[in-house]
Amino acid sequence: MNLLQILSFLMVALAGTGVVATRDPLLQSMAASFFGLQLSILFTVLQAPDVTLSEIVVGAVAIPLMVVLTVAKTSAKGAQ
Amino acid sequence: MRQQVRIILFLVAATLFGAVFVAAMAGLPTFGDYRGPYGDLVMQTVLKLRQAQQGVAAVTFDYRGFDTVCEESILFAAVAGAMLLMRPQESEQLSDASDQASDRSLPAPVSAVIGCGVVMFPFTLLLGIYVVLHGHLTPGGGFQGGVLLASAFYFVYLSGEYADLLEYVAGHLVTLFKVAGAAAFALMAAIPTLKGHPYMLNVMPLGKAGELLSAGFLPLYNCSVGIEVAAGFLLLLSSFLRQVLAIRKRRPS
Repeated sequence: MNLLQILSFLMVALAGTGVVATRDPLLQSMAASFFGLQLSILFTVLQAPDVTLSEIVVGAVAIPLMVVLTVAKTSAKGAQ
Repeated sequence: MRQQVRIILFLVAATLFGAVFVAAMAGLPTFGDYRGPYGDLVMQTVLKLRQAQQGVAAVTFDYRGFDTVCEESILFAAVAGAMLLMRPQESEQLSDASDQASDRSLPAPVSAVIGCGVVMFPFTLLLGIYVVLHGHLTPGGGFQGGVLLASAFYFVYLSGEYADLLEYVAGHLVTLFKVAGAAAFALMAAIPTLKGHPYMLNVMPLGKAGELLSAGFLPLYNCSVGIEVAAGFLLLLSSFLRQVLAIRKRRPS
């Protein structure tokens, strides 16, 4: 395992812990987005470019976006 | 007292688990050390048997293709279920997606953001099409390429407005694409059974490895899955956005 791999593994572990430690769903979606980004960097370092591309879309954009939209729907008082 | 018992219980359990965990980790093969015979077997046979360069694509769509049919129908059912949940209910009505907050004004559209969207949309679309079509030659394939295709439309929303995205998903065209992709995959997989072969047997001419039309059914499977995944993700995003931006409780009149 080279230095770059160790570093990206560590960042994934840190970002994952950060997602669990964040309690507010809105902030957590941002943390999850950062986690998705770290995960896609790890996949790039491990030479899986196709998985990286889908991880960027799904992990860093689609899932946080859906969480943000759900939070917006469930917490908006005027819209209910 | 109970607190102390809990802590002692935790410490005992944690020590036991930790000891077993460390022992198990010490017995693992080192990082990157591959021992199983299956990967090597696939890499040895994939070029000769299937004229495919991509071992992963050959495994997912040919060697264990039936699993992929199930995976794909799980995705289909999940998107369909999410859309069913987020349809307008009887007590709700569709309104235009106007800003609901009254205490602030809308920021003016920034030309740099729109410019980024205009540049990114065609290139992401092109990259998605490339990844889908070359799934049997280079890393990628229907699932990854389909997600990329859908993300091109995410740029439309991110750099513009909900109404811009709505133009693409209006009518039933995207739904038709999604259903047609899923149906084409399952039906193409059933073609060999007409001749008495097993389901999903690669009976198409295999061609020459490295060419766009090679590896038999693989490019066709990739295309149908790519269309289904792209349409599914687009529908998912648009139904989420519609739920938040456009669906309101029907006011008692």
